[in-house]
Amino acid sequence: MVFSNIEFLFVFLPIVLLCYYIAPRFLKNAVLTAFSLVFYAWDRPAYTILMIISIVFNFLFGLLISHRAKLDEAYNKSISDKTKEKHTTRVILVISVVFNLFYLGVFKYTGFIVNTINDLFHTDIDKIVIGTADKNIDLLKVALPIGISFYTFQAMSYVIDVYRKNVNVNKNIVSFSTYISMFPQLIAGPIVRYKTVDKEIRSRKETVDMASEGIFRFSIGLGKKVLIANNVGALWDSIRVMERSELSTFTAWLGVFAFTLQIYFDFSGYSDMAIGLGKLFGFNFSENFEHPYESRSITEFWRRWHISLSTWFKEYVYIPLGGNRKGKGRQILNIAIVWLLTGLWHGASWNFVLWGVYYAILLLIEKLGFLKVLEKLPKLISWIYTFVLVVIGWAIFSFSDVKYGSDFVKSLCFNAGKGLVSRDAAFMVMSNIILLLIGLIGSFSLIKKLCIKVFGKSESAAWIGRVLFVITCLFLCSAYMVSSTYNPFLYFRF
Amino acid sequence: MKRKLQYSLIILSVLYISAMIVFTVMNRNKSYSELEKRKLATFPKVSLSRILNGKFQKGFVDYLSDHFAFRDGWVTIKTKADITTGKKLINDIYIGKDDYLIEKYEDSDFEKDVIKENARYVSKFVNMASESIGTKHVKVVLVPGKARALKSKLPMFSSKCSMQEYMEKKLAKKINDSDSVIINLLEPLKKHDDEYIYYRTDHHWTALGAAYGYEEIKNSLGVKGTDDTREGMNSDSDTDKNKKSDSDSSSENEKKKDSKSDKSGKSDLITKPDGFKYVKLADDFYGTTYNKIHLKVEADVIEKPDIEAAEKADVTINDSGEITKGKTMYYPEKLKTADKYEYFLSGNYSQVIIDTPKDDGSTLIMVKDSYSNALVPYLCQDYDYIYMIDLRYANSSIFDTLQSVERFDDILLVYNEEKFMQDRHQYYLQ
Repeated sequence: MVFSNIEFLFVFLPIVLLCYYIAPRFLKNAVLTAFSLVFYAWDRPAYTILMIISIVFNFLFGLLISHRAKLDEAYNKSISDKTKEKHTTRVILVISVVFNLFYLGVFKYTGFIVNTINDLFHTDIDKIVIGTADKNIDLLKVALPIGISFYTFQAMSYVIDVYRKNVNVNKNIVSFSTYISMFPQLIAGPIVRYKTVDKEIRSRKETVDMASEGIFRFSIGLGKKVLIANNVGALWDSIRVMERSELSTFTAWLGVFAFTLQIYFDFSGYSDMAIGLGKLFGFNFSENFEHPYESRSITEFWRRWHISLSTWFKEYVYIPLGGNRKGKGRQILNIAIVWLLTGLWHGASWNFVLWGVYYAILLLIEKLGFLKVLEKLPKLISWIYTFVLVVIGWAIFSFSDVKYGSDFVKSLCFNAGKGLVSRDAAFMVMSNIILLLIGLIGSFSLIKKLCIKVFGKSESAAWIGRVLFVITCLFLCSAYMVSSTYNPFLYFRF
Repeated sequence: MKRKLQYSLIILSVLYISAMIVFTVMNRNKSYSELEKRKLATFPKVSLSRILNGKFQKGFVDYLSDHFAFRDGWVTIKTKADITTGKKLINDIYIGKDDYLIEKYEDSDFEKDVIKENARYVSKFVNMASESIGTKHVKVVLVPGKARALKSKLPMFSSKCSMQEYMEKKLAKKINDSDSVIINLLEPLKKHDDEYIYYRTDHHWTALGAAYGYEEIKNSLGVKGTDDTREGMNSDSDTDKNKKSDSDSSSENEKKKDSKSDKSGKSDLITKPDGFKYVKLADDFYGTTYNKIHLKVEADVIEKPDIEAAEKADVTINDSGEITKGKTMYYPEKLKTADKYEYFLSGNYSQVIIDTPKDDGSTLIMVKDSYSNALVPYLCQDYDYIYMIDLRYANSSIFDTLQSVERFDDILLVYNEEKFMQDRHQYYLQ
């Protein structure tokens, strides 16, 4: 299930909230977990088992590490010879990391790896593995279990933090399940690290402040997704399927610009909804986006885009690898590794790898001195530099088919079948210009700043504004949700 | 104050969602959507296996969205919001000038293979028919869709579709003497594009549009009775000739009697559409292009030409084997339903036989789609019998039908271009 359809908003959510609020305190986590499983099982019931397995194993890893840590500690204290110290927790940690990566690998990357090997060596190992080619099982077409990238990363953050003694071990399987499966952030993030919700998982209070803010925040996200992302997405969909012979350079740029807006409003809208829903259940999730399209360098962009993912990679990959503490050469290697992984995390195909490499190169150039140049440039120039590079990045990102992708990039580079501008591009601009402008301006912090200026002085005025916004937004979103079955979440692949 | 407002935000949201739930539950017994022309989903069966394979969930979502409170109203609001933000194309419908809602066609809506196939079937049939009754008596009439005939009503930069021209070229190449056989109504209709020749909210042409089409067909078929080369395919040519002269005088008398047409002499039997009088039947028609976006623009008017021959015609409907005699050309009860275009002939059937008040045995074979339903009243003036064959419902070769026809003087294949290009039933022309 996703947040932006009527079965969620008018059936699932009211039922969960009702049950959650009438449930006594000690049952609240259980209620939330039970409904989260229903939420997850709604579309593909079988995959719920995968998630449950992941929950159980990581719960046990956590217990085991904390248990061994005490034993190790006691033992290490008792001996005087430092070289004979025991570190069995490290072994368990390695096992847990291997388990999680293997889990992700099997369900997300099998097809990709098999395809790559087939392409490289001209083999058909998928058919060999399955036996006969005419069996109707296609190894490569096993659908990706929704949200597996998100919950696996959350589980890993928990086990690693238990090992690092950054968090206390969770001995309650129900509340641990709540952490992993909580439906507000289950499918498309943000990636909540255990330490940020540790306290709230154990004890929290739902308040009127949080509930009203939560509804407001959820409405913002719903509007972003339903009113903007879906509509610019429809424009992009009509362009992305065009052959190169039908494309003009202008159409291609229009398309990728539409996608740029779509992916931001889709994803940040989803994060807003997640944060809003979290508040309704008494949780405070960290922000995931900070107006990334305002950035004036790629470095800054990645500090503002999908913050929970960058933070995760920083904490659990970049810093453990040594970060910038082991010299320039090592730092460059570390950045390269992190970005290769970031690319791969987004999807199991080569365009995502390429996209990761693209950002690795840009970030390295900036690290090696260009950042200082950018700071001295006029604001507009550095903004244009960043925005154009990000848009080109999305062009790479959006085509998992190499041929389509390269054709599209050629069209962007003034080498399109229909020349510079075509008739359909003129029509699309005319028909969508207001929407695109709302999108572009809406992605900046301008509106937020304006609201603060207008409503900032009076809290009552601000709340009147919020009430009006929520009602209008719910009303319009209902119209769009009922009218259209067009509702795919872009981040489902991950 | 702040607290009160926070409470009111929560309460209003809860009220809004509860209200929708209540109205949806009240709406649960509705089973058919008039606007969408389809049955609504029923509540899915519940069983463990259906839940595990997701069928129940899918069924539930369909059921919910089909029965959601004010469903049609939401679609209107969405369309209006789209128009407010400058959208000119919604659900593949162009929001045209003067309240015209025009369906969009682009090259990718058509398959060249299907077009080639259709051109082949049509040309083979037409060439064969021409050989036996002469090219003067066999016509392929191409009725352009709204988007082409009313190009002037389209929004700026709307997309071009070149497939119709492709189809026209294919037909012209394959049909013998194509210049006289093919009647392309594009230019004749375009000349009148400032008149009410298509419905604003439906894809069909109006009675007036059909009248302009009739004018072209009449011109092309030539003046009846003066053509000595005409021969019935299945009938004796001598008796045929006699009958023809009968037909000539009788049709003349009829028209004089009616004095509804502009007619100055024996040689000038061409009826000017402007000369027809029309009867207004309904002014609240919302058709197919409206249904796609539920946007209330100015409603359409259903009119019929005041033609006695059509009023008095005796119609036999063969609905895929089920034959009903004693029917009429017009169906006033259809004016109370959503699809008021069905006023003409009550819809489409595999075969419709029209027996007009004329009594000269002259027979027209008409291979048709729904566009012909508005056209046929005019043709009632000129023939004793009209056989309308809709291959989309026939499911058997056209020759099976023709076997039972004693004679035929003229053969018309009347197609809306776009529907023709997508339809695969021309197969039955062989």
